Amino acid sequence: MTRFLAQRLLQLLPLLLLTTVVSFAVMQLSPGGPLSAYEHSPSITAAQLKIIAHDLGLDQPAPVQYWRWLSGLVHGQWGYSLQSGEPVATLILERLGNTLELVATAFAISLLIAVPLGVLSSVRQYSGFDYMATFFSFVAYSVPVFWAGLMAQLLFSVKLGWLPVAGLYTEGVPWTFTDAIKHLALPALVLGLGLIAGWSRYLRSSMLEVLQLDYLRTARAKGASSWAVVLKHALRNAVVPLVTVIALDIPLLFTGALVVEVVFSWPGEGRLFYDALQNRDYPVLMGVLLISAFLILFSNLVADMLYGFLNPRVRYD
Amino acid sequence: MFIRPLPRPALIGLALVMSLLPASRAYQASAAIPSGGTVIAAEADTPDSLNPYLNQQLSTADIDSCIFDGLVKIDGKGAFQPDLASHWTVSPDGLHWTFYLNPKATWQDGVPVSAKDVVFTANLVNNPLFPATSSIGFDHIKTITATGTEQVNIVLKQAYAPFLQDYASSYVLPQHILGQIPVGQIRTDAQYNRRPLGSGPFEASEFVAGDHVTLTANKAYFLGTPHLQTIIWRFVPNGATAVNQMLTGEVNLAGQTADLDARQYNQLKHASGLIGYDTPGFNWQHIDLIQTGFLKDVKVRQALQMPTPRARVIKLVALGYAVPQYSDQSPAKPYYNKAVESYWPYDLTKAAAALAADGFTKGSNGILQKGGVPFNITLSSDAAFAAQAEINQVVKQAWSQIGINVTLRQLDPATIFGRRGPLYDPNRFSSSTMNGVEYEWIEPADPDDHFFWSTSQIVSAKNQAGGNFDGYSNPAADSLMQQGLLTTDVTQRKAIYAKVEVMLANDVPDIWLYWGDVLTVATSKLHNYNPNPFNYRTGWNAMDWYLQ
Repeated sequence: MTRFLAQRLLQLLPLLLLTTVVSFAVMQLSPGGPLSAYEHSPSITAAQLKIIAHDLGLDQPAPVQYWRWLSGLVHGQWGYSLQSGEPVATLILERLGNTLELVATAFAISLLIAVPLGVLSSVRQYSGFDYMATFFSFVAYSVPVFWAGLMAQLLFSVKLGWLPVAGLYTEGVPWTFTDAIKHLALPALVLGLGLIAGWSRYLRSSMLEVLQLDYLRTARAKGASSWAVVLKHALRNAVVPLVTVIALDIPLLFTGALVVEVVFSWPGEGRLFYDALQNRDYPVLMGVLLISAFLILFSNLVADMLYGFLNPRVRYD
Repeated sequence: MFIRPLPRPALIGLALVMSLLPASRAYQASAAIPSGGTVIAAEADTPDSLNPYLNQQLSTADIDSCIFDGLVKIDGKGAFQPDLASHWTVSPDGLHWTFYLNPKATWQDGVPVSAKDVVFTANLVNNPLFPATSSIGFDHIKTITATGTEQVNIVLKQAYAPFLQDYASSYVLPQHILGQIPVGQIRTDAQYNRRPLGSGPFEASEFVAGDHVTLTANKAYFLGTPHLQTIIWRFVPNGATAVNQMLTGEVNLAGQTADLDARQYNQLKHASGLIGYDTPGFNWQHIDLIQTGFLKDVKVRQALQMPTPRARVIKLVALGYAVPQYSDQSPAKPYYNKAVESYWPYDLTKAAAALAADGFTKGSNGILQKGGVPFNITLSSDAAFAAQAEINQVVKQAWSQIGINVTLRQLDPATIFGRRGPLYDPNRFSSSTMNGVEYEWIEPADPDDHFFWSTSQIVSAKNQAGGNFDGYSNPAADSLMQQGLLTTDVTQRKAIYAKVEVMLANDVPDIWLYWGDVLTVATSKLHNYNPNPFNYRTGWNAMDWYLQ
């Protein structure tokens, strides 16, 4: 296992490097550029455009720009935003907490709802509850996140007045935990919607397989209650593949947060990426993409490790 | 609310009159106007910096209009009013400008504003080490000097009619703060750029990255204490979210930069506790016709204007909140020439006949062709604005009726205005693909329009800073526009631009569509909020706002 882990960690570096090369190349090839915002403005002269291009290093060939960025990264410098001039690391760090807060809450909500939903659906297969849960799952999985977000705003904020529409907290008044939670509730719920649907379906399917196994009949014969059989014996085995699926889905939470953060005006990494994309702010885009790539690769590794840990039949050499 | 501009007196006469008047505005809070309260405004884009010379985002322009002052300010009627300068003079040849600063003007830290700040700002913007994103007007300065602490003397390279608009209404920066920072490091100085020190009625008290900026009243403002206590600018990138926040009261002002479309405006103006403001604007929706293939032929462009259903577009897309456009000066400005309204009225039959007379015939597939080349054109629009795609759909439907094959395309703004996009591609004039691009410009109060139409402003590989994407070139128009820049007499300028308008109406470098109204919504408790097409910055008169 140690050897396997070491191999995977060693593979991480070249994969990340390749990701940065491909990302940078795609950015350079795509139409537009960081100066697009200024070029069509009547307020700027051709001489000023050249000054800006030189100041931002955009008058250098693309390979030179990439090499400068990579050299800086190796020395711990993530570069400077072409728009604000601020260090990319600063921009990422000041928003990272907001995204982690959103993602962690969505994760917790998804787990708390998906597991009972999946278990109950499997235990009451083909019941009214099961059909309702199945219908909900397909709807939740199918609706676009931005639409779900706007509908949630309409229902819970505009019509019912229970929760705020958007933002981190209410400005102009002292911060309170309750106010922060109220602002977090809707975006976290919307972000977790797709995961609730997917995880509950996956667990239902896994549970149905496990519930048919002989060892559970033995447990019942020995006098275990129905719920003890389900929760103590069946769920334990059924949840093993779900754990790896959850580990693989964690990066989706970060990437899916982009749309939720835009709809709910949540100032996280997704918003940062969205704004940087609009402005072709290459250093910021590279920084956020690097983090996303690392998360995806790392979560794949964690998923593989977890699976081997939970399932003794799997051995990594 | 409907704002009608008044005729503007001659600039020279105005300058002389203003030089004799003391500062005429009085903004003292009276017992009748309550003070305090908070306005929360929605902004569609998220500013990276509040330094007015380091980015061009509209959100920054709105926020900066509360933090900073210029030498002059453009009021709701298009007239120049004193701001930091209490009065000014200009020589008859338009070359020598003298500004006299208000001795009461101070920065928000209490340091007096002085002439050296004005000189510092101009020298900074013109410094090749400073990547200023807005320098128009500054580039016309030959010399700028200070006499004492309150007099600024400027000599221009040549007379420049829009000088007050382009330079004098630009913001002044504090020399005692920014002068201490090496020029090459000002761009990266987050401390200043996030919470800049200005001289204006509101101070930047909080900057939460990606979320909001809080401004608090500058109680020592030299022109009087603002009525409001706080203005919070919230960054709301999604328009539908901004609508929902207006309905719940989380936001109580959606200005021009909240990007409300006509449908959202209609929804909000009828909501309880909200008022809609429909103001004639200088926003013009049009289709740039890149002059390649058939589009090089003026007869073809004229024929394309005729089947374009402006009235239908205004009804379906702008929901009536617009007026038809015939040339490049807004009817809300005193420079509008009514004669252009007679050019190329909507007529499908005449359009078809004009193209037939020009040698076009219909192929077996019903598409017009000439010399074996079919009339295929691609119309692009900004994917961020659904209304622009709708406009193209209406135009496509109309043009198809006379046999023009239109392909629609939606591109993100960085692509449309990017190096390989349809407007900037250096090979666009030799391309076999004919392109039209639908988008919106906001034109300034001054009638100068050489940026859009002058031959020298044709965008090419060597000149990326122009605004003439079509490739339109008319030497007679070039000459007139140059005269318009050098002439400060309003009567002469009216005559000059009237002729330019006729030329543009005749030559149809763009498909003229409509002048869109500025649609904004605010809480009914907000008073003195005054959307101003002459000054698009939302907070231009924020010190007069009050809540009751």
